[in-house]
Amino acid sequence: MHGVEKTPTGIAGLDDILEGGLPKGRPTLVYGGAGCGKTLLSMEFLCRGATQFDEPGLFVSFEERKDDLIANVSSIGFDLTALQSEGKFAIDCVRLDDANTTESGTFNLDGLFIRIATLADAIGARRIALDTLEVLFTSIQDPGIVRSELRRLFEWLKDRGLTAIVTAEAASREGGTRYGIEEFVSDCVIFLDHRTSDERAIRRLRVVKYRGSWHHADEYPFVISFKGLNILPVFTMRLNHEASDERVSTGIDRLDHTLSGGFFRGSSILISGSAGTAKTTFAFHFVRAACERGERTLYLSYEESPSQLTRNLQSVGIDVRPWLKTGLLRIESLRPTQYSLEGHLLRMQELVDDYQPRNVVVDPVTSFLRMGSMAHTASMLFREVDLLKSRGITSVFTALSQSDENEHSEVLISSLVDTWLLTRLVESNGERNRVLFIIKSRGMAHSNQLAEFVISGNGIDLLEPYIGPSGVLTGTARILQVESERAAAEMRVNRVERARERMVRKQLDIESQVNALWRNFDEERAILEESVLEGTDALEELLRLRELMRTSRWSSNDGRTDTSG
Amino acid sequence: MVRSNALAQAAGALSNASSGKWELDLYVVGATVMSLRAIANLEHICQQNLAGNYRIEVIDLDVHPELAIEHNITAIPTLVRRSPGPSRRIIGDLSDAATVLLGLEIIAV
Repeated sequence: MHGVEKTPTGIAGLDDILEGGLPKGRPTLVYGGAGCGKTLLSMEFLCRGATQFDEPGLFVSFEERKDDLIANVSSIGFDLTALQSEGKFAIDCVRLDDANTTESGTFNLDGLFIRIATLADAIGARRIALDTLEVLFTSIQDPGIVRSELRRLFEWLKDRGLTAIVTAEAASREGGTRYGIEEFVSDCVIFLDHRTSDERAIRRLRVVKYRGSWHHADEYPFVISFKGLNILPVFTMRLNHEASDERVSTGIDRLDHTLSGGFFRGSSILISGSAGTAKTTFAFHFVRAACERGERTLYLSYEESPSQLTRNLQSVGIDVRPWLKTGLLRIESLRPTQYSLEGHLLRMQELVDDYQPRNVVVDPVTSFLRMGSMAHTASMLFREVDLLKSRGITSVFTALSQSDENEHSEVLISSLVDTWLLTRLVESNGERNRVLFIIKSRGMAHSNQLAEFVISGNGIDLLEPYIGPSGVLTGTARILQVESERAAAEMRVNRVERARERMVRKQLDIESQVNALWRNFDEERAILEESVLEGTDALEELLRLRELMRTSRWSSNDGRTDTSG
Repeated sequence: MVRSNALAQAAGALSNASSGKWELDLYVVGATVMSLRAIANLEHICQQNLAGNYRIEVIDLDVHPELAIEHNITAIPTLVRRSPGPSRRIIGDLSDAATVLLGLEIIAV
């Protein structure tokens, strides 16, 4: 059995979710609360039909005035007046002013049928939107008449083979429509949700039902921009990205060598690390190599302005100005809070569509953490990575690792990237050294975990692997080796130090003994000199003491002998 | 053709006054039973209550479909009071004379 025939809406992302489009020649119900975007969705369906698929469309409005509709639709980039004069579009505003209307006896809605038929015939309509048909229920007292007439209307639409969108109000969140319009529309039902979370508006779309067709049943976030609706698929539906064997340079020779030639073309790379570990510099080495190959590169900066980046890069010997001038490189600085998460994804998509780069850098992805819940942010990052991959764009994401929270995001995004480089500051020998870990690298033989790197006026350079007494050391072993050597050196220093201290103490000891003897001698001499005056016996005594002193000086051997006498 | 003739006969049989205070447009689609019933009901009500001081125009949207858009006609039949005063509408086959009289403000509430 073949699936139903489909009519593409032309709305970005929607046809992917619907696996081709709306059921051709059948009515589809689009419902949701106030301001959910159902009017714009149906308008865009008609406008794209008229402009892209050569299918003229008729819009029947039961609520809004013509001028308001024309103004609203111009905000998503369509000129209804022009389309009308080209005969590709028609609009009819059905006003049901019940205040001036009385019912008396039985009636039908032939007037409405005639209007629709007249306008549809005039432009040869293939598409029609009825927004919001259920207003009939509030303006007509007899719901039995409305029901039987709606049944007739839907049959009539099917007979004419018009692909229709009928909109309705949601009774409650996901609780069906207020007047049970779904009873008449059995082919395709789409639910639009517009809610606020963390003070940010989030729009979502879900295909509730699609008879005879496989469809994607998830909730998809969407945004409304100046280009209309954009529904963001979780993934590009199938994981069928072409895996390339081509290598692109990392911009650092020795890193290329370590990665057996560089990154894979079209792969995604995460560079994470704490503040000041040269993540941006790493990214720009990649950018430089890309520009030197003549490839268009888009740099999305969420922290620094283009002029800041340009200036800072000059200090590491990277001058991006010529490429900015020729347009080979485009730096877009965006504030994280400028858009919602979906808005950022859309902006990236727009930039990628517009600029068609072969390489994209997002610096840093962790800025998005301020924007929403972990799960919400992660799903957005997944979509970003997927978007770039699906287009074969080689992408580099930087991530600031700082708090526990960020570690989670690193882990989250790392599962999606092909190569994960981690930069760290390592303290050893009293200095802080930068090291680069290659944590994972899908599909390539990468030579083990760690290399030290230095940044100079010539940029980043990876150092030769450490060669110690037990051979080439890389990774953790290198750190251990450095550490143990440092400890051994410290111990040697300590031993010498302690020996010196012992010597000093000994010397001080001896000196104090000598001083004590001198004081003793001085006292006794004073006494003796007094007694010289008293008698010759005293002289004998003095000579005896002098003899004693000489002996003691000799034994102390402290070099003070010559000061005596 | 048969339908148009039937409608023309029904409309022609209306005892329109040459001029009148009450100007009433009745929108129908073809000479259906409902259309003819509405014309008959309206004529009866007007004869009983407006005593020659009225003019009824029957507009067949099968013949003039563009007028449905121009005059914003959704339900069939629709009676529109063009004069006197602001426009008033009554939808249905006018089988309930009392609501017609109230709706057209021929009698006060």
